[in-house]
Amino acid sequence: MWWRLFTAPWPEKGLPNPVLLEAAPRIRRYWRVQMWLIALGEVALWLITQAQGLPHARSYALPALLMGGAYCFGLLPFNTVWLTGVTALFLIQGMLLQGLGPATALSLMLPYNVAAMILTGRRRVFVQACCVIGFWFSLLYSILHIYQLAPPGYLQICYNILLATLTFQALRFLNQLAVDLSMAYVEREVTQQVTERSQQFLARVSHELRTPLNSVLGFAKLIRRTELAPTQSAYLAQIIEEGEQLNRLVSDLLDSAQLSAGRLILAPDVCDVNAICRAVADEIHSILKPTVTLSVEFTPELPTICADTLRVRQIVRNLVSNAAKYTAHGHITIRTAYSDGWIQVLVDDSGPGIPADQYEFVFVPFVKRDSRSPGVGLGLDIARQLARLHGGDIHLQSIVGQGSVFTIALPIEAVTTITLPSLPAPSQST
Amino acid sequence: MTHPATVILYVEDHPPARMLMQAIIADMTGYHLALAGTGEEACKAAMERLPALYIVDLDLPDTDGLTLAAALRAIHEAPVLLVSAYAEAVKDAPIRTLIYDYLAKPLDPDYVVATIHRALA
Repeated sequence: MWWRLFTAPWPEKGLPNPVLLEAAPRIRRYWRVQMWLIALGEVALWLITQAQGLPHARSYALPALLMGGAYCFGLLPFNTVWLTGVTALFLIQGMLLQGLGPATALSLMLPYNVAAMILTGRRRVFVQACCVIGFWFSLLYSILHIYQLAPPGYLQICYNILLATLTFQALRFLNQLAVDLSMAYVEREVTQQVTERSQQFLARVSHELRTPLNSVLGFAKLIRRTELAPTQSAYLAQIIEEGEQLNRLVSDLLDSAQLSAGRLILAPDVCDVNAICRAVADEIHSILKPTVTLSVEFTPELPTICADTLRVRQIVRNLVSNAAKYTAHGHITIRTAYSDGWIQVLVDDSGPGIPADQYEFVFVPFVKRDSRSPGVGLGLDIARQLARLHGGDIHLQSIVGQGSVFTIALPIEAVTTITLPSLPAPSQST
Repeated sequence: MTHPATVILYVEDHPPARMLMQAIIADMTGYHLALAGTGEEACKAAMERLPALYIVDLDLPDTDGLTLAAALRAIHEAPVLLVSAYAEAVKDAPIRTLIYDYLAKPLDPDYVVATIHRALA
């Protein structure tokens, strides 16, 4: 509806509009080009009038050049009020210099006001309507010129049509710019909000899951310290084992969510990869099938690396427990190696192997090769993301029927800067 | 031993968690555990009992564990152990100076006792 032109909300005064701020460099560039065009047009006009012996038309280019220049070089504050005000001001000045009435001046001012509104407004239809109206007002102004100004005649007309076209081009450009920018802005805002919400939700859920687990596991471990019948301690061991499994699952889900949101923060430390691998080997031993042997082959005097010890341990643990899960008999070997600034940990198993076209597939979260195996299928994804966060990666080589080798490659200077984590969000309600 | 038992102040509002910590302390150490459910109770207890160690839950009804840790240490200086079910360990440098160590829920009794001994050593 046409009256919406006049009821569209005007941007808040003086507040830096994010869309406008983002557009600032492009608008400045645009103005710079515009300044040159006006200046060149002015020179050409002057040259032609001189050559033909005509009196020079009074120009409104000078104030425009001054104001535009002030914008280009950042001398004026860049917000909606100034942008609108200044463009309007120099146009009125120009009109008065030309000896035109305020009605005509206003008619030419309109497209510039509209341009400013476009930059801040979010209504596409409204913006397009303004462009069209602005163009016709500019043309109308030019036609008025034909009848009002006799002296430089056709030159002045051409010049004004040129200006009108430029105005129209400017409006089209600004329109597109505003649409692009506000779309991008809104999209980013929405994505951010969604991420924020899901992060809070996950933190909350994991908190709620761990609170009962605290009692279950804590008391179970206290009971384990008392005198128990053999069956009782076997049952209890099962409770504790399953409880720990549940806790690992919660941690994995949280880690995975944080990794994909880019929120996981490393706490770099000097870390001894051989020691980490040994600790993991000791830990995994208990869950190994009796037909599988676990061995370690360490490169002596392996340099220490700067990385998050707990996370590196998690990477190795995830790979080794993955191998333990899928290897029914044979061996699992953890090897360490060093070459050229990179530490490598190789986890070699004699499991079923993975066909080459499924190498990427195994790293996809929630995808498991064997649906009956425990866990939710996050281990490898988390391991690879953590390795990448350290500036390294995980590679896979496998022969079906013979086994797989997962290679963790970590740079010696895995983490160079210490990033401070934000505090865990305290819950809002209990 | 003739000297009075060392007092540990545990600030936690969740009853099962309080029961668990009481059981851990009673079963596995000789310390005396004082309990508080809110920040206010904790400050009062800190003044009266002058504990040798604070164990503070991050998630409290009237305040959060870190603010409370600073307040308690201002009342009576003692190391603070922060307990939380939030996975992210508190690794921030300024917090490292504020709290002695971090205990993640679910609590492992052996680890809790080891950390308490380390803090009180």
